[in-house]
Amino acid sequence: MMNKKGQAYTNEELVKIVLAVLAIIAILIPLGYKMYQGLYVPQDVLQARETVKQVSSMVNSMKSGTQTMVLTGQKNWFLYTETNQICACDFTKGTCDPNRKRCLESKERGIEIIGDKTSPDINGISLYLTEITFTLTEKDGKEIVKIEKKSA
Amino acid sequence: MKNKNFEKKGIAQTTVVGVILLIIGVGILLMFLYRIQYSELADTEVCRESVTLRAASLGATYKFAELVPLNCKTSKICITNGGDCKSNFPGETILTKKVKTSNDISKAIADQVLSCWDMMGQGRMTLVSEGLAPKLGFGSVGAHCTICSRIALDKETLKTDMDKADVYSYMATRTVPGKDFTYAQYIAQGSPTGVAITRPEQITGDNPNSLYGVDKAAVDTAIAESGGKLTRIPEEDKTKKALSDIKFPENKDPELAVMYVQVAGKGLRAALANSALLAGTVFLSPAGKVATVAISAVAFVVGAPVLLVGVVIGAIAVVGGVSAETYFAYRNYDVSMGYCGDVSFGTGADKDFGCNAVRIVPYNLENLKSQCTVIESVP
Repeated sequence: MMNKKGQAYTNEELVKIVLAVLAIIAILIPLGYKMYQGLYVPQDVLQARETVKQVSSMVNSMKSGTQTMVLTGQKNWFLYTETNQICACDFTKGTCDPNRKRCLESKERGIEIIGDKTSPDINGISLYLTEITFTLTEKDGKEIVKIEKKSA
Repeated sequence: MKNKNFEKKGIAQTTVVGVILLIIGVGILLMFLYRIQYSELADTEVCRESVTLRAASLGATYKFAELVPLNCKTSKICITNGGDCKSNFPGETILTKKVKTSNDISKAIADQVLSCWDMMGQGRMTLVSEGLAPKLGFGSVGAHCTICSRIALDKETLKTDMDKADVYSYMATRTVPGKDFTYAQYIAQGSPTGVAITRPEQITGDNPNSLYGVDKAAVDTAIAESGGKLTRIPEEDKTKKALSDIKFPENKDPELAVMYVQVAGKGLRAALANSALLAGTVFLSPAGKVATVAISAVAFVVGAPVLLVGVVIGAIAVVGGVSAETYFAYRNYDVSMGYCGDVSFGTGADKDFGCNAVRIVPYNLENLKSQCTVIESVP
């Protein structure tokens, strides 16, 4: 094999070329893929993330009585609580897909979700075109927001 | 030896200066990005880009479309004369539009309709993938909605002006800021009349101005040739309700949703994919008879002299009489009619079409459920 000057490659040059090719294959391509994965957020996950944020805002900001909210997420996504976290997860495969789960902690108030009995194995509420009510109550001196599906 | 040392020092200094300049440059860039990150303009542009990308991927192959998310975040607008609408949008970024008269209210809403129409591709982009709907569990076709904005009207400060607002008249008579055509003309692609129809050659590039200028004579001819299949939308059929007639939650301000709805019928999809074939083509109906020419229609729905609820404005793209239809085409048509019939051509219309419409509806579950099978916007 010849270089641009028409001379044979030295061992040093060959090693450099091999290293460069290996670096591209082993580092740059996976890095590029990771970056793409990091930047690409599926639409239902985007929606779930924003829904969780809005539910959390409502939980923390409501002053008294009841409030309502319309959820506009996708089918098979459910809202539920997990150790004082509000979570939304994709249950398309029957159980929560950990890669498609978004949670947000509620530091100020306790949360209680009364499930709509459509969720597979959790006490959750469907995100797909559902209206929910928030009711602020008190239990053992602690403020708790009860979230349930609004009855028709 | 000395010279070499000097050279090395020079190189080191140059490198250090270069690195410092690079860091300053990156810092300025990050500051700039941070400043624009949450602006309304940024959200609009992000959405527009994602719409273009989705449409382009659909053009390439329908299977890619589902990989391209529509990154359209619903704007939260507060129309007020001094309030803040926080009860409607707790903890969210609210864009406040301060108004004084009912006309200002109409303008604020009309601007949102126009912005939504523009952002979503003016009815010219196919965003619905046939592969997407079944994956989401909605069968072969559905109405895909993007809620461009939720508009809360601060009832405390607006009082009676709210019900006096007449968005339709405003859009029909007032010009778009900085332009010499009305909102209606802009959305109806140049024709403020009931239904505007173009012949296929006008939508496929033979006439470079066709997408903007609708030929009224062609509309009349197409209606005449359609043998009653196409009609102008009767004004009296439209739902007329004032905002005060609608029940909203007591602890919230009345809220409207400006949403873009797209239903892709099989024929529309095929026609858009093969639009070059449309020009001058005569299509065959399933029965083998020569059908009317393919028609693209843009509808502008006429409303009541109050803030119209139900349908304020719509635009439809219709392609009819496409050959080799199947049962599913009929089914798709039914769905299309269900969602877009109110802005289309009655029961005698061609069986296979899709539609694009911007609608203003009271923001509640009932309306969203009746209009949409999938909501694609980020809430």
